[in-house]
Amino acid sequence: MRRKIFALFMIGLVVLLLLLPVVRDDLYLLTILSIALCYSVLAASWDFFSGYTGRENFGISAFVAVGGYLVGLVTSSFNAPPILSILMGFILAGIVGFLIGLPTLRLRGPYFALATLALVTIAENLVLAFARVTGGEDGLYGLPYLTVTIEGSYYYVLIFAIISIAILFLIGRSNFGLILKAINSDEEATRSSGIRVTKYKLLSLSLSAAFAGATGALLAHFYGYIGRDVVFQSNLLIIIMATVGGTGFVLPAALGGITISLLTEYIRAFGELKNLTYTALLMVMILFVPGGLFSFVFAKKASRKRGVPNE
Amino acid sequence: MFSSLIVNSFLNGSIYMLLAVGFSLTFGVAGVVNLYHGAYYMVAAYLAYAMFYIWSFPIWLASILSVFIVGALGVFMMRVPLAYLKNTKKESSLLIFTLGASYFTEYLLRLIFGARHYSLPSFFGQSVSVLGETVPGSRAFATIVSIVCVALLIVFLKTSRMGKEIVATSQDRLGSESIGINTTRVFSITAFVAAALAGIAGVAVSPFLAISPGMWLPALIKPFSIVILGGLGSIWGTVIAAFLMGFGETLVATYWSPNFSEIVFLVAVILVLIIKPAGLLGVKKT
Repeated sequence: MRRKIFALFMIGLVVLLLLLPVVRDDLYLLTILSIALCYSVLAASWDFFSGYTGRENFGISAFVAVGGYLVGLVTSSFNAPPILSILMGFILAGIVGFLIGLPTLRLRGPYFALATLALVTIAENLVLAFARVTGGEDGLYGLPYLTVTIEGSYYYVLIFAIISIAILFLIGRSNFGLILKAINSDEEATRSSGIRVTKYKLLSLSLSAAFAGATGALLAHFYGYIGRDVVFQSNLLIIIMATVGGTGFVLPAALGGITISLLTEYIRAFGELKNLTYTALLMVMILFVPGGLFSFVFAKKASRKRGVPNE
Repeated sequence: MFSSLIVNSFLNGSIYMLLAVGFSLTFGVAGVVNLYHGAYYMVAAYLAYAMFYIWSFPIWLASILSVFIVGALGVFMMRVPLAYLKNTKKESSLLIFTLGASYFTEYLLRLIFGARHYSLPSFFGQSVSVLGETVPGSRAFATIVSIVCVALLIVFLKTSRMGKEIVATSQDRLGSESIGINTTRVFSITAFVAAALAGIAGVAVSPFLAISPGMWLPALIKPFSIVILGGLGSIWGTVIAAFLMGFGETLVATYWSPNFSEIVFLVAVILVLIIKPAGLLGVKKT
């Protein structure tokens, strides 16, 4: 019942978002919604790896950077439509994710999380070191926009978000997602039942990185700009979004992404307090609402667990 | 040129050692990867600054007080949120929580002190000459403090009753509890020692490195790389790895570019993870 209501809610939300530009001619609202949708894809792709497998990826912005700066590189050398650079961002970030995961994912525990945290610092240093290509501190301006109008860009982002989140959600619900969750709850047991654990973790990370890279390229085209502020400041924010929304089911994380991004617009006046509020929110959520705001829809009923020994 | 390389890598390596030993100890004893470790380093430096310049305490009192306050902060973190999260058996939420707490501290300090860089006056003004290289007194002082602290820690772990209890707990928690060791107290003392060591590092470097709100991140990533390289739970492995990393970093910074010095850490980590996952001197935990 809860799921049917949730499904109706999601369909309603999508219809509302699709019809919005027709009903209201508010360009500011369309812009912040586009950004919110980009973030919802990022939160969903973070969740697809970290929420499912329980390995914390603290370096998702490195993959966003791959896609974003690739746009700068591609558009400076030849005139390609945005869809092409988004696809290239998808593929390249996927490959980078695969290469990063290859050595680090074989290990258990916190190694992976810390290695990815180091990865962001390294990506940021590389951006500064190769300022000729990346624009360094200033970033790259004058990138081609997605479309000529804001409504057009909004639809572009919306369709991208719907497709990406739907793909991630469906894969998450398939056997693939089930295996990832099995790895999360007991890696050794999963391995001994004949599943190649590392292969699945690697595929999941590559896919998560690929969608992050594609979104990075999309963001670069949307802003017409890519720089350190767009890429690296979002790193923790994406994790906060997914954690606040709820991890392990893709859709709650995506909703968390939309909620937090919209909230950002309304508490912009807080300035420096904004970040403080977010991090405090993150700590409070982990301590007191560990499931997240939206995952109650997918959570098993409490009564079913009664009588079952501790997991 | 070569002697400056050796001297500088020794100076850097000793600070890394001080940071990494506490990080390794917390993981080895309590099984907690505390991503808040870098924040202890940062908080101690800011506290010492505030006490010295704002409340005009004498410098030695400001330093000692800030180290103790940070130690107490370490005990609080271990006893309240970390103990609670450890009981929920979700290791991943512990990582996110401590990372979030680090960023929270950064934003809080940014709010109070602004993004400006600060520094403390030198503890030891006289510069010294080592291997024909002139080393500023504050850096020599930081190096000596690090080495003395780590030596004291090793002696404490090897000889005192409390130290032995800490080592026993790191080897087998249930076994230690069954012979009457109060492991909760052991965790608290470990947390205090680890946080205080990071705090000492933070205060010791603040005359020559900037006190800034972003300083916790390198102070977390470097010890982590060192701990992986040296092997979790092995103090001697950590010590050797710290000096190796100090050398590698200084080498790259001198002959290539300081921008790439952090890359050395990750590349070293990845290589070690591939070749010898338990670290150079680490024991494989079952």
